[in-house]
Amino acid sequence: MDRISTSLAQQLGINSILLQQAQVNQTQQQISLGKRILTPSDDPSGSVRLLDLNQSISRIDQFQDNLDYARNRLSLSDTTLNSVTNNLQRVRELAVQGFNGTNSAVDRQSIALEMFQRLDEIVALANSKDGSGDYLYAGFKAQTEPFSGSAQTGSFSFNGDQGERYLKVGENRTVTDGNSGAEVFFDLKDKDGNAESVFATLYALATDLSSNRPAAEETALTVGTVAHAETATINGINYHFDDGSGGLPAADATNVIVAINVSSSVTATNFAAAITANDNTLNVDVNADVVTVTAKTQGEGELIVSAMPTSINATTVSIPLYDHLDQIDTALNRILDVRAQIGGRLNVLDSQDNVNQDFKLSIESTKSQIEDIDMAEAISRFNLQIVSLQAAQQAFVKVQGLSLFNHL
Amino acid sequence: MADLLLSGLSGLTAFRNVLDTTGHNIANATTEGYSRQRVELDASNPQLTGAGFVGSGVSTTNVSRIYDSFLSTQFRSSSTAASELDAFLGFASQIDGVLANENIGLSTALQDFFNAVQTVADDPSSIPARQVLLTEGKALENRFGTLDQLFGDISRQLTGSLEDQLNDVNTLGENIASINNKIVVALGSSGGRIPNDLLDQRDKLIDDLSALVNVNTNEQENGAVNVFIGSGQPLVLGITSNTLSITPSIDPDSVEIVFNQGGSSTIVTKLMTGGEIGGTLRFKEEMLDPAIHTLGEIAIGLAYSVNQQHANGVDLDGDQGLNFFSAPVVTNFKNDANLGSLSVSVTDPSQITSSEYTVTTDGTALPNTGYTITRMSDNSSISGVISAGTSISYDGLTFDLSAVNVNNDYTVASPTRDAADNFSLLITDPRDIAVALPIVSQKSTTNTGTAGLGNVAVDGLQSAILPASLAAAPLPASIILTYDTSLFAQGGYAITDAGGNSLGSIDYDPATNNGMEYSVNVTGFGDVKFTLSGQPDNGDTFSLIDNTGGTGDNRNANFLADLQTALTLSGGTASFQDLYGQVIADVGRRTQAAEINSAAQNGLLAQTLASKDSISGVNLDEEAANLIRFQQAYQAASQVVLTSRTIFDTLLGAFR
Repeated sequence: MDRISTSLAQQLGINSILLQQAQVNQTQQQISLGKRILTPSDDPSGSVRLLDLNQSISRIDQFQDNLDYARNRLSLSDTTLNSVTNNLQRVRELAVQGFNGTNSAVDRQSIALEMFQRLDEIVALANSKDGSGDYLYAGFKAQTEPFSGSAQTGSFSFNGDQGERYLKVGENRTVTDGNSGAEVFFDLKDKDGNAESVFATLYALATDLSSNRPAAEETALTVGTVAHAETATINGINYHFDDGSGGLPAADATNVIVAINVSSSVTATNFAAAITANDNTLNVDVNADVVTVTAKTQGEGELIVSAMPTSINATTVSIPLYDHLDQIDTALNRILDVRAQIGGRLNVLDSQDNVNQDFKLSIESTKSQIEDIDMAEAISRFNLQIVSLQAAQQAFVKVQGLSLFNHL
Repeated sequence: MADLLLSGLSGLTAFRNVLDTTGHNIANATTEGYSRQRVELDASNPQLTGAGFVGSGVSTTNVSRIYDSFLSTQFRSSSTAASELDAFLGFASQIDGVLANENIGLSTALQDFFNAVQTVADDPSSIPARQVLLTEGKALENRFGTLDQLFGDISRQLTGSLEDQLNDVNTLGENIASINNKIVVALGSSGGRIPNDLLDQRDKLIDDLSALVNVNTNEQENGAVNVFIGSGQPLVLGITSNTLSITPSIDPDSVEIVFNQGGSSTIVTKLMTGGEIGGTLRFKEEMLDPAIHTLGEIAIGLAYSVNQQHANGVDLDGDQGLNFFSAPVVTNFKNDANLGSLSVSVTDPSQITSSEYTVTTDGTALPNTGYTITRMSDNSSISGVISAGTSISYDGLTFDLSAVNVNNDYTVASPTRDAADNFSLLITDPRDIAVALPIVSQKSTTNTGTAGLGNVAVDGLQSAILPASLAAAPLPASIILTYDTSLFAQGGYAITDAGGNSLGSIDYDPATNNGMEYSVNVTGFGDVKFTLSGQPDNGDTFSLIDNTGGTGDNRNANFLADLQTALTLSGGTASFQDLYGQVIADVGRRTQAAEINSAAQNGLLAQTLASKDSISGVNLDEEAANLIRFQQAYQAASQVVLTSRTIFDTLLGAFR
């Protein structure tokens, strides 16, 4: 273009200055905020990714909050169950000690007194609340005291439900923050498969002790028509029945020969005499064809009666102590189980905690890559823009000063 | 000799004209639209003498403006395109800037709301946590309100600027017509000499008009110019001008442009392309309306899904969840005087469109009256007869035709248009937040198998309390599942209520159905869903009982929290956040494109202007040079006169 109008020349100069000012301003804002993206139009797809990343971060933060809630409740539950375990073990010791034959009725009553107190303590522990006043073991009925009953009333009921609460601790990751009291304390199967609560067990145990009930286990052996060479095994000793025709193992510490008679009662008497003679851990009693054996030492453990021939019918008369002790063991095992579950969940929480933090870190770094400005680049760009703005301004002034009229 | 004087005089006159014109050029150096003028000089007709033709001086034939009509047209079309993009960009930047602000955008409010839901799930009986959720719900309402208001403000601002632009168009049209008149008169009275400055003025007005709207011109023989705008609407015809005006549209938030010509008016909104008006209209159509509608879609989806899920739960008092947010409203207007009424409701937010609808019925007597539902955006429609069913589902809406009459004509407003504005929190009491489910499962203590029943959910809850027959039954027994090996091929669960009445049975083969979800419909209650797992023994039972006092139950809160990422919108492809992201992306992309195009178009405009100016613009240095040159010429001409006088004097002196 050979010819340019004066006003256009001026306008072009001004336009170039305005454009550069706008660029300087944009860079200045980017630098002062440290952000590359000031409005969505600066990078539309980047802006949307930022939204998504922000949502992810916000969700992770919430998952971490949830995780803390779950961790607190589970830790609290673990501590509580630890106390319950200690109490149960103490009760178990008391039971073994209390049923020792050397104790008098009065001794037993005083031991039972401690047991009742321990029972009340366990009920109180089972009714523990969490930090926000919800019962730990009530299921969904968080405001309802889950266990009613005490050493006074002797009857216990569960007023909660089997609800288990799940908390989200990660994308697609949930954790139960507690166990229902029904599972932990109440629905414990006894040897007949019926549900019995740990409280009822303890109460019965203490009551038995307090009322001085004996705790020995006796087995009634009803002797029928015994055939030659049949063998009964009691406490590891084999009693071989012999009608005189021989052919049996030689008699020693574990093999005893018992003579049989056509009369069951005579055979029973012989059997009783053989047991008495060979096993000093047992009290033996005989009444007609029934031999009753009882462990001499009162306390734990069942009499090992095994391998009875079909002609001898063995009936173990249940003495409550052993059932109670079994039941306490069941309760202890259940609590151990639950504590293992809790430990497992706490482990899951710990690992999820790490996963969440790693995930968040990686999102933060992605976010920073999208959003944050490269300061070195921005500042050098800023300097360049300022230099060229200054140049434009100086050029404008110089060019505007050129006019032929100056020379007229 | 007399010729010499005359020649000199003609030179003086001619150079005066040239100097005057140069002065005029200098004076108008900064006048917009001014085309520099040039005096055309011709040698006067020579006189025939014995010696041949002797020159008789100079004459001014014409004062013409330096003007290229091709460049002028090109400039106008560039100007139209550039102003359209500038107007678009101006509005777009407003939205763009606002959406970038975290304190105004919807995204953080959505996150905070759903985080608050999860906090309630952590501690369902905590009143403070519930109060926080209500506060966040209110914040969400405010955020929708703020955005809606913002879009409303832009919409009003847009209408205001359209009004201004139309006024400008009208004024320009009037002025062009008036100048047309002056030019016609001037041409007539000057015997065809061009009134340059009037033409410049008129060209300037048409240039201004081209910045507002697409312009085409057509020059008449008498010198007047006919001006057509948009897609050929005659704004100026000779010395008369027509006007544009604004009229309210069916859509209360929108307006239509009307072209008034000789007493008749036509709606020309869609025809006004290019320029600021075109840019403004295009912004409304391409950015503002979609943004408003998408925001409305999110509002509808959120309110609908949260309400739906909330109604499946029970609150701290065991009552069924009420509407958490206000239910989406779809308004309709009746356009006829006949009896009848229509009601429309949202039943599937994922299918919602932004279109308006019309519902018309024909004259056939009820119930054989035919109806037609038309989607206005593309005029597609469905039709049928009332007798075949009065509840018609279309585009996620349910049209209830049970009260319509013959010859009815309804307009159904766009469901999304006001949805963001109507979005509000309805729950005020933190106890009313329904985060529990109405039922809880219970495994019988006598079960011997390893079977489990879990993931209990409720859908379409009709009443939060189990039906009387079930609820009245003694616990534990409301809905009882008993495993029976004799059922089906591999066994199954018999379902009964507390009274032993059968509610059906479920085929459960532990080998293949482990972990599968089942649903049982309980009349008067709703659908109860659960998963079955493990190996049950014959006679094992599970019960689903009333969750009375279940204040620690957070199951419904978990379901509510799941809505945050559930794909509930856009035909099941997008979550709330996704759709909001689409708004951001769309606004960002369109703004970015407008920025780029605008820069390019403005570059082109500057180029065209430079070309045009290089022809028509005044260069002061050039004029200064002309000033010197013609001043010298003028001085020379006066010397000719002086010489002539001297010669004459000499001649006179010879005879003295």
